[in-house]
Amino acid sequence: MINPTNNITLLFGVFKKHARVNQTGAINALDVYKELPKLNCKKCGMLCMPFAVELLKGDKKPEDCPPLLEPKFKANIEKLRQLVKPAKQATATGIMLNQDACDGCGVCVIACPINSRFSQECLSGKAPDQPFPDKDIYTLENGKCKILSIDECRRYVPPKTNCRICEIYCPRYAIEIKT
Amino acid sequence: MPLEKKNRVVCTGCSLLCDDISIDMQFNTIQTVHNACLRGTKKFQFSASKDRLKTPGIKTNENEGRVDASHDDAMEAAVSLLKNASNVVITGISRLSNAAQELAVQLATKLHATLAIQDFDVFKQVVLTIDKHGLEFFTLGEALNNADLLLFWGSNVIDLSPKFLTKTVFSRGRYRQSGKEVKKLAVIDDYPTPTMERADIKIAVEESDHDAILTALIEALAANKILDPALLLQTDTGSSNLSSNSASLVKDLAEAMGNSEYCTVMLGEAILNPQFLENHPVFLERLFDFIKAMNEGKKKVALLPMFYTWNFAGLMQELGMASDNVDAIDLQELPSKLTSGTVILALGSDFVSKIPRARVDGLQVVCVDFKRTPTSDLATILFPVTITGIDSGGTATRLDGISLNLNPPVEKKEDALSDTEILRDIMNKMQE
Repeated sequence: MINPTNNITLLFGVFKKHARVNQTGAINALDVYKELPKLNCKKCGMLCMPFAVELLKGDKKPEDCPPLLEPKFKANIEKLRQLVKPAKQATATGIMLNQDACDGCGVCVIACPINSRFSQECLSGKAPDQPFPDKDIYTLENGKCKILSIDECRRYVPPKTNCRICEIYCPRYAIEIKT
Repeated sequence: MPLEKKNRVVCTGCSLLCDDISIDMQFNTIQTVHNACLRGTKKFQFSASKDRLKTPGIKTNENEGRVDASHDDAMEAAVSLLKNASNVVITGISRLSNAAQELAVQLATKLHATLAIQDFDVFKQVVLTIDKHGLEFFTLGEALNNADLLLFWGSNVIDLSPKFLTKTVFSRGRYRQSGKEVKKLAVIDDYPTPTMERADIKIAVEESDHDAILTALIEALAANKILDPALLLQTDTGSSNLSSNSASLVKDLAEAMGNSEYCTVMLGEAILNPQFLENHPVFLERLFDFIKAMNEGKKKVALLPMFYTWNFAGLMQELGMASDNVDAIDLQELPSKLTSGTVILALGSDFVSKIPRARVDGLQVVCVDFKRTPTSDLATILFPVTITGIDSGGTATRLDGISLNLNPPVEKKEDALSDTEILRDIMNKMQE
């Protein structure tokens, strides 16, 4: 049996980790929690607060909450879809691409250690040939940087290291990693 | 129709000639450009633009516009114009393939024409000074594999050639497998550029301070016993009067040079321009003397002047092999060559944008280009041409002197002509 006191501490710790200081208008877990039914019914497999955190991380969708699908919560689910959209764009890795700043220099493509692992050409400063490996993270399309897949990103795959090579090396500051 | 993917296409957006471009094609039209920077992408995408020049034209009357004509009629008119000209000037040759450059130089010899080349005076001075000191250029592969200190002197390469740093500084090389972690980037420039933003050693100076920076660097290296001043031929060292901040940064640069195994020096547009070289007549001489002395003292320092027109290096190699009968001037001197009866053969050059408008009125121009420019608008005779590297092939020379085979993704249309074919046509008709 889980000690209730420990459970609250655990929840609070998770909430603290994912609550962000809202200096740039970034949403936090409380903003998401407010729109949930708050029934704590566990039909999604967890209580409402941890579900709010999972929504923010992008690991759950609003549709994963069965009560939210009821007509009386229609406005709530719409609001939630808007709230978690930036989080989805940020992906579970926290990587945000500023397309306006990007000039297609390709530093992210060849500096990313995952790109180098799956595309040998990146080891000598060349972008990979098509078909691009499924596991590559970055590619250039029509002069702009694009994320192909985050499946192997070191920020996403356990043990989830704080790799920031793309952010540090981007000459145009077009890549931002939100923790 | 499914997409066809073409790899290893060479981009002719700038002198870097990136050969890792991948294009998605459908119906012989470019759909998506992969692996190219914004600059290169725009050139590839222009190949399908409705603004491309398509039809030859002839202007029969000064007061009337140009009318569409067949290629044969336009060629006959062009050859007649060139044969009867009192004076012919050929411009824009640095934007042609290697084969077309060879033909252009042959044509210039045949017509006793003058080649007007942008930055020619600067390049001539650089080449003569390098030759005098026996220096060598480095290739991009050498920079990638060996360089651990890359010094950009007066070069804002991030804006002018976005992928240059990708291929040299940020990539992993054979002997520098940790990439940027073991490579240092140093920038000396007149103002804080985006390239300087990313540098490990940033030296922002006034334009007048480059000589002083060089003197301070020499003094710092000599003090650390890395450079033997006795190896320097130039004794007029000038003053090293700098602000304390700049002086401290120069000492950091000297330390980095002392610790490096292979330093590359890229000379950029802030140095390689006529105004700077006129104001600092001995700077190049002193810099190359210093680099030679460092090499003689067993510190490897290699040099590369940065010119960004996509086949400038090819033209310089061609002129180096050409006979002394070829007359070449800097594009800035073009107005002095204009007399009544002058005909200008503009090969992908928009020279009208670069000289005073008053000198341009009434000029007879034969223009060969793929896009509309003020020069093509003014042209007496116009030949639309393929875009070399996109819908016609050939070879081009990268800024480090390596020739690359272009791999055009678009199949040339039957009635389209490349720069080489048009020039060959002119040469053949001239001989008839």
